[in-house]
Amino acid sequence: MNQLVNVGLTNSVGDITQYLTFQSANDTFAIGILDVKEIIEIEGITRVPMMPEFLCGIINLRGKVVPVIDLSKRLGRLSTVISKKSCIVLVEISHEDEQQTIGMLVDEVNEILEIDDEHTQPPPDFGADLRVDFIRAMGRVGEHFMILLDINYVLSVADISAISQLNFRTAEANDEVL
Amino acid sequence: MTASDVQKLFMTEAEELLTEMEDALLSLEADSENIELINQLFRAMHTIKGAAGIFNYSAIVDFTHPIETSIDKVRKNELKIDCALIALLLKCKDHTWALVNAAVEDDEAALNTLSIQSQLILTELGRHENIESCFPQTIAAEPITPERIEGHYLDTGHWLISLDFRADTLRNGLDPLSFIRYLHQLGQVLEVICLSHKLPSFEACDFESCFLRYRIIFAGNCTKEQIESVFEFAQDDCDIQILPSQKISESFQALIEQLNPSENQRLGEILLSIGAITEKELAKSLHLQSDNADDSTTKKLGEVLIANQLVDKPVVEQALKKQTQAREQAQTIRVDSNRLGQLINLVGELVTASAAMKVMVDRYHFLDANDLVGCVEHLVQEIRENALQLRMVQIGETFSRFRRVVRDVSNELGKQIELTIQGGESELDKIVVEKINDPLTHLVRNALDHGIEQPQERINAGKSAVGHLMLNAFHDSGHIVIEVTDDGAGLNPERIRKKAELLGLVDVNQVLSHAEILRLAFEPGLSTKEKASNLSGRGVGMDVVKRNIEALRGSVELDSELGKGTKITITLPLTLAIIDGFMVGAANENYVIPLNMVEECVELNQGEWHEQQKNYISLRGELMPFIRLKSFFNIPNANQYNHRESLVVVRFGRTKAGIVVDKLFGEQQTVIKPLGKMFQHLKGLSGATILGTGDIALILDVQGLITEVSISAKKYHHVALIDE
Amino acid sequence: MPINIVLKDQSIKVNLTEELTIYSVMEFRDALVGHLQPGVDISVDLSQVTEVDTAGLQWLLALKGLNVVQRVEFCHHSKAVIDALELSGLSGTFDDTIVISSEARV
Repeated sequence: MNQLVNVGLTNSVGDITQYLTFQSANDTFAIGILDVKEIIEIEGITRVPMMPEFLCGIINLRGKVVPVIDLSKRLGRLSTVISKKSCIVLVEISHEDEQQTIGMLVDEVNEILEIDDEHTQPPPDFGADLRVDFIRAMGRVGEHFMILLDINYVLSVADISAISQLNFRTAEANDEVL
Repeated sequence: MTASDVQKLFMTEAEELLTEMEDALLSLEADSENIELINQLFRAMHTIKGAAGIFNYSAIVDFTHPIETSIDKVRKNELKIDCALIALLLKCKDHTWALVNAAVEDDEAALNTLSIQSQLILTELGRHENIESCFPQTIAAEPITPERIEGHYLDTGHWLISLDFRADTLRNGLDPLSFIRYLHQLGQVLEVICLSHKLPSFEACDFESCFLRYRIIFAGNCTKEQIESVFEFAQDDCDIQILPSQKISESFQALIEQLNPSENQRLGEILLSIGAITEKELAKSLHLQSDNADDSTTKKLGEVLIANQLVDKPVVEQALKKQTQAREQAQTIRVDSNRLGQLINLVGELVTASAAMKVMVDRYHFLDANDLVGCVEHLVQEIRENALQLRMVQIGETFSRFRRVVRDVSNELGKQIELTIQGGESELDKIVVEKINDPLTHLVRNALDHGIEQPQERINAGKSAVGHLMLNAFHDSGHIVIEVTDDGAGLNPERIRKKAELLGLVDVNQVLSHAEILRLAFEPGLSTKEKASNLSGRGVGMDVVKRNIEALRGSVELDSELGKGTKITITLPLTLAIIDGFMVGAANENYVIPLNMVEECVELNQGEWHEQQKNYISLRGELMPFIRLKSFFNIPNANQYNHRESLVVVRFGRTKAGIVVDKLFGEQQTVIKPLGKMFQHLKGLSGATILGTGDIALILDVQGLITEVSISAKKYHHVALIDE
Repeated sequence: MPINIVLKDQSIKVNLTEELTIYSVMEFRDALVGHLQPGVDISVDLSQVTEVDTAGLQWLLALKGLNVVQRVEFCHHSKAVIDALELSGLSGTFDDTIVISSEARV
């Protein structure tokens, strides 16, 4: 077809794709529903030292250790303020032939919407204060626009672990200066 | 079991047999007369051939059959085993493995290619045999000079039949001569010796009594049973013994060796099954045995058999050995390692659940339940230990595989290298063993390729022409340590440094200790070898080795002296699953320290320890680096928590360090949950564990911590420290 | 009588006929024993022996082992005798005294 970014192709039923929409840092975001494993309440996130700030910590998911990322912080905005409506969206992404479960801390989960190809368009070339690779496409529902996230980049294990390594080196360097 | 399960079993068994075959071949180089080893070879080919036949893997059958025949010739002393044959058989072993793989994978293409190779190898084998078969047969068909009685022919595969006729034999209508006549029909009577010294003088002799005894040397294609049956009618009138010659005895031993050890086989049954004794002999011996049962000294069946000259000692010993083997084998059982992994996971869950139960009991003060909880905890701990033990294997198996590598590589490179293995009995988790194989192989190849020099070079350097490589393993506080040591050329610190400077890793003016320079060798991109070899690339991959080992939560260190040699020390945790932990608290966070690294805990205000300068504390006069956990981990709002601090002294190897914490919680079983790839660069933490409360505590990587702490501590102290 | 003894001076010629077996050995012994004196030569003709068993072998052996007489000699061993000697491995013992006559080749 044309250069429309193929969003959530695997989620399509015909030309229509289902998305989970949620709020974070005053914006509405959406991700393909097939990537979503579970939505859970916030209960005891254990902090992990020496990791980037956007990594809130880890949680105990029925005996499994799952990392949780503050979406807002990860997108370069302010830390999420935890409220009653805040929750964790568990998504599954692939990393090096392995499936990894990662949690996303969001302000509020909205609803499941259907957005078809006609209502999506490629991300703007400029103006968005987000990393371009985080955005798959823009979606329109009625009057609202929402950002369709590419979680493989947002929650990229490789990315995050690299950042943490960098952090550590920086800390070391700081030590030296002292 | 599905068809593919059975095939997999075939492959596993083939692998084991071929490994045995290789070991045997390597050992035969030094000990070429060892019949046990030769039998091992035979058994390997024979069993694989048989199994392959069942699956209709004709490629394997066609290949292994001639090899089996050749080895059989060696067994019969028709073919001599020498270095050339051993090398050829090693090739056969490798090729058989390739065939097994291709056959099980049903890889037509591969099989076709391999079949050409098969032909080549078999042709070489044929050529070898023709040269060797001009060998004089050692089975004697020599002219016999009857010197003395018993013992003469017995070296050559014959039977000695001893007939002691009783006095009334003739009166009872029997004639020894007729039995001897019959023997002639059964086989070859090579010699008959008549013992007549009991014969009285002519005048006094009662000729109707029998005074003659015979010793007959007999050869025939028959069993002991058949010989015995010749004298069936003489049983009451004659004491008959049928003794095997040395060669026959040896063939009995070989037969026993080949027996499949089946459970609960009694000694008598084993000997009966190979024809070393007959039913009648066995019955008689058992009878004799039980007759003496009232004596305080009840002889064992084996002893009875030997005493009555029914079987000779080596055969009995071999049979007893097979019995033990059977018993041992019956006591081992194959377990799918996935199932074992599942079991251990479940044990982990059990540990966690039991801890949660304990929390519940404590919280609600179920005092009555305390004992029960303690009991359950104890049982869980034991189950845990036993389960983990199931997965332990000796590292010796892995080490032994390197013999072949060393041999092949040293031949290929024209170097002389001797491999010493120590501590092969050290055990570690099977999974770790599997994963350590690659890094170890790399290190060994490095040592062979780049470490140890050519013989002439070594001589020029005043060393022995033969290079030495040593693999050593031992346990140390909950870890297994593996050392790879060579007395080769060692690493050149100058070159490493220069390369590091070129890569920008190190500043030209930076002061680095010897150890620090050597550590640079683990950085990617560092290679001080100008030429690559096809064996180990450029001698790099140390970064890959390091990464692989760290993925196992282990560590690797390098020590080297230019011109003298290199020693690489790998440290790995004994288990990846469940450990004994010691929980501590820093501010409001909980951390677990592996118990086996905790040396002692000291509470503040005992006047024994205090901070010296930054990063060092003195404990009873002993100086060690330390960290304050809450500062080290930058715990937010840490100052809110003002607890009485304690010092936990941890030890790793020879290094000690102190960790200052706010709370000491105590020992607990810790199920290790990996943090995941996202956290792989995290230093100082090696995993997480789920507490009984459902909360998470992070597990400290003591070794990582100590390393970091020591490095930063040293940065601040270039000057010698003053003792108090 | 199957055993024929001819005495002449110091020599005894013994002729055995028919079987040399358990059925005849005692008889043969009794017939001969009286004639055994020091200095006597005994020559035993075996050409007409039809059958030999172990008892017969013992007879031959015991006779050969006589030390009271001067000499014991066996001759013209019949086939039956030769067979028995061979079967029992005693051919060597009687080696020096085997004289094969044409009649023996039956």
